[in-house]
Amino acid sequence: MSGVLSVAELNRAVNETLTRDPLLAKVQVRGEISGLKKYPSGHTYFTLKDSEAAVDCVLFRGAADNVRFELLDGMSVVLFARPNLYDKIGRFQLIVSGAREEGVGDLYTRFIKLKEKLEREGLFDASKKKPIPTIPKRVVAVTSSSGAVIRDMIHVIRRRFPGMRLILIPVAVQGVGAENEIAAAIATANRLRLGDVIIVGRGGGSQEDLQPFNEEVTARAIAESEIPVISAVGHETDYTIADFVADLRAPTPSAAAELVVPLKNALYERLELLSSSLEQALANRLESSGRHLTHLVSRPVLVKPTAIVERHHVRLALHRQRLVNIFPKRMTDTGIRYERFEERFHTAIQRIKTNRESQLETLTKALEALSPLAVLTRGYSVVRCPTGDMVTSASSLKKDDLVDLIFADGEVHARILDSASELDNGSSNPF
Amino acid sequence: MTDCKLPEDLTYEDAIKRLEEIVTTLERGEGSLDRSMELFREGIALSTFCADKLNAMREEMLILVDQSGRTEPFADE
Repeated sequence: MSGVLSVAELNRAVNETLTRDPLLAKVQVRGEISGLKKYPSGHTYFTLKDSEAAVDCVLFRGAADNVRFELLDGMSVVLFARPNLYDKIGRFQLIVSGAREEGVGDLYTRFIKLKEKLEREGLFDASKKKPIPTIPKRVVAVTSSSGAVIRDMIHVIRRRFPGMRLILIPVAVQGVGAENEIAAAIATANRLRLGDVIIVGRGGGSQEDLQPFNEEVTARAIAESEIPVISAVGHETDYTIADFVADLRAPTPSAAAELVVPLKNALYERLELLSSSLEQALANRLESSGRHLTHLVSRPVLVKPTAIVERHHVRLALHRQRLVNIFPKRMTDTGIRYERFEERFHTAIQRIKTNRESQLETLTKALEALSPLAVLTRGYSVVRCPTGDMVTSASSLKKDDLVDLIFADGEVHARILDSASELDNGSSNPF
Repeated sequence: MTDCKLPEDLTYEDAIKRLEEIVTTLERGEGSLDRSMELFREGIALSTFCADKLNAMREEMLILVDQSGRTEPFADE
């Protein structure tokens, strides 16, 4: 009778199935609390229900600390729980391990917690931001294929840059599992290298609608993308987690297209400006070189090579002029010196002359004293041979010799009558 | 005018950046005339390269239809 189970076996088998199923091992369930009962044991029992269904729940004493607020009937909550079959009585129930209050306030708490966590991990670091290409080769759009968003983006791209390429990866951008589609699309774009920039976004909506962009899986896919990602979730003021992780944040998908795709006309203008600047710069360079050359060529040495010689001429003339200027002065100087010399010369001559004259006078007087004429006037006479020689010795005369007798007033011829007779002591000196 | 060899893997951004450098250098009027002519030739080549890049792009709007990378034209109207 195999195939027939005991009740206990059945309940155990169901329980094992529940435990093994990864989807059911741990669930989050949203609902409203009712029939809450707290027992002295510390366990709490209640029913979670929504408009369609209900499920029994138990919060054991050991997990009670995980719930930071007081559970009350009518409260809207999300439970963290494990489905279980209470095998003693075959009752399906949720074993609650945690709970949070549901509502906007709660979403905000989640947002802050996830933001803080990812920030701590460094996912928002400026150093992690990748540069956006100036001109994308192809834009990858991760968004819904329906609706105005993609059409607006294409419109903006065509207007700004005719010829730009785009590939759309269609995804659900709201509702259950949208975050997984978005994350997968980003991964696919990277795996297939579909482009060099990704715009991920959607149009505006409620906080719940934007939730996929506040999910961790979306944030991590953006952080891991090697292709730069621009977040563009259609709300101007609030930021999503995706905005913080993305390499660039745009307020709307159209704005993202504006940011990513350059104005082609501006690029052309920039290029034309650079080209004309380039030509102008070279023209200026050539002109300045030309001017320099003209200047060189017009220098006197090249225009009139004789100028070199002329310059020497000029210098020569200058020197000459200087000489001329100097010369008269020299002449004057020399003249003065000459005059002085002349004066001194005359003085000297005069002195010499005077000396000589007085000397002459003395000598004349001496001569006069010695003059034979003076002796002769005193009575002496001089005997002279016809030859003119003075006769100074009697013995030189013989008989009949002719002599001249010279007196002071004239001379007479005489003849010797006889030879000489010696004077006293034989001396011929009459004195 | 002789052709100026540009790097094979030159991007538009790098080309524009280099062109800006060249214009700045030429505008400063530094370097020899030969060097200036060389830079000018390179600048012209870069400018032509950039213009070609801009002119060569042809619009293509696609939608990815499966994970293998198959695409179809995206009719946005």
